Amino acid sequence: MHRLIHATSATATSAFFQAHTTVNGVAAICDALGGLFLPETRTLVVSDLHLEKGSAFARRGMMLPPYDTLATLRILEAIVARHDPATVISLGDNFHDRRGSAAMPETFRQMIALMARGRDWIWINGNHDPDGAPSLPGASMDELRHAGLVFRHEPSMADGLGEIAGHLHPSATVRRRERSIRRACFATDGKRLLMPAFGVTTGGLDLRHRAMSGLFERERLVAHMLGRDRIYSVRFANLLG
Amino acid sequence: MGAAFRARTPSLAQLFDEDMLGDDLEAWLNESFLLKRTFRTCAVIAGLIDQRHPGKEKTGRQVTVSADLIYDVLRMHEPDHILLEATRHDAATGLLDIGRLGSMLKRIKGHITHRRLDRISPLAVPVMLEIGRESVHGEAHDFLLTEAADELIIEAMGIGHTAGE
Repeated sequence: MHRLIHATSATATSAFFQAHTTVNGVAAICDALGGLFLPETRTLVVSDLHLEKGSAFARRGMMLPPYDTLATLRILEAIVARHDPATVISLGDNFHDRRGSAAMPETFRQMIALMARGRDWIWINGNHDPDGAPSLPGASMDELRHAGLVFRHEPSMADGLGEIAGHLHPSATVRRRERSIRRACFATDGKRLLMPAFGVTTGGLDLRHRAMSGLFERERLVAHMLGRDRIYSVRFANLLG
Repeated sequence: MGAAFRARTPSLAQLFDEDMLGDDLEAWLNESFLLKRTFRTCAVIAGLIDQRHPGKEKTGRQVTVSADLIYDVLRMHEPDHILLEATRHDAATGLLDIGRLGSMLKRIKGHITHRRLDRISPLAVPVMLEIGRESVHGEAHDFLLTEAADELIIEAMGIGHTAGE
């Protein structure tokens, strides 16, 4: 929730609000609002928006508060405004289920249309929304090669050189002085980068989870953790202190 | 804490002053784990979330949205939601009985005796059991994260330094 508060209020940014990194030689900026910006091609990447998650659960009888879509889109608006990207790539699980993109209320459609105006908008298909987002501006596809990188929803088990993926909702746990602090994070070893989940009602999976094994060269792995108003970059080996 | 009392900074009278029940308390309580825990109980009773029992693992499809998250969302969008009302009501008469706390602080003013015991007094046992269950984090988490992140910065500066030589 602190991302939303920050996105809708402050414009002042600390020096650590962004962390600079490179993926397969391409310069990238990890933004504390949860998106990745590639300055050379003015490309903004976000992942796992899980829009309409609240309503998806409501349809199955689980009455979650329905405000998640608006909250996620507000943060998206803030990060789009900040970087003014030429291209926006949403890396899959854009909607929580297949019906999400059709069921989304008109006001949210308009918010997205406004954001997409004058930009290329790419919806990468995810496992939650394999049919794409046909009723929204932009193009839907399974995979995109752009800016010297490969964008797909699920990380491949291949070497992953230059791969930007989502799906796993990476989070990292810092342990210091008997305390554990867990935050969503960008995870990269310089070859591949995993995006944090951007949606407000998304959980996280720890970098130590077996689903993450084999994806990174652990000696080079750095977790860029999303803090209240800055990125905390911590080497994987140093997470547990 | 015992050492702080011996040194009289802060003095016991200051620490237990009625003033502490002002606006700051209200603001802190809204963020506090006590209130979130009360909300969790309300949410379980309302059937909004399932209580996890030891040994009974969650099924894959079960929602993993936390009660804290729902609490934050409701507080932002529907501050007068019935579950928040219930939470405040429960809290006011439960763990955070401000009225009683206020009258007790008034009653004990000037009558507090501090004595160091060599073992836990029976009356203190409930409090001791709560230790570790509630955390008061404000800046503390940010501080620890900063500490961890500084290591990488120092390391990076170290590498830069060696390269420069």
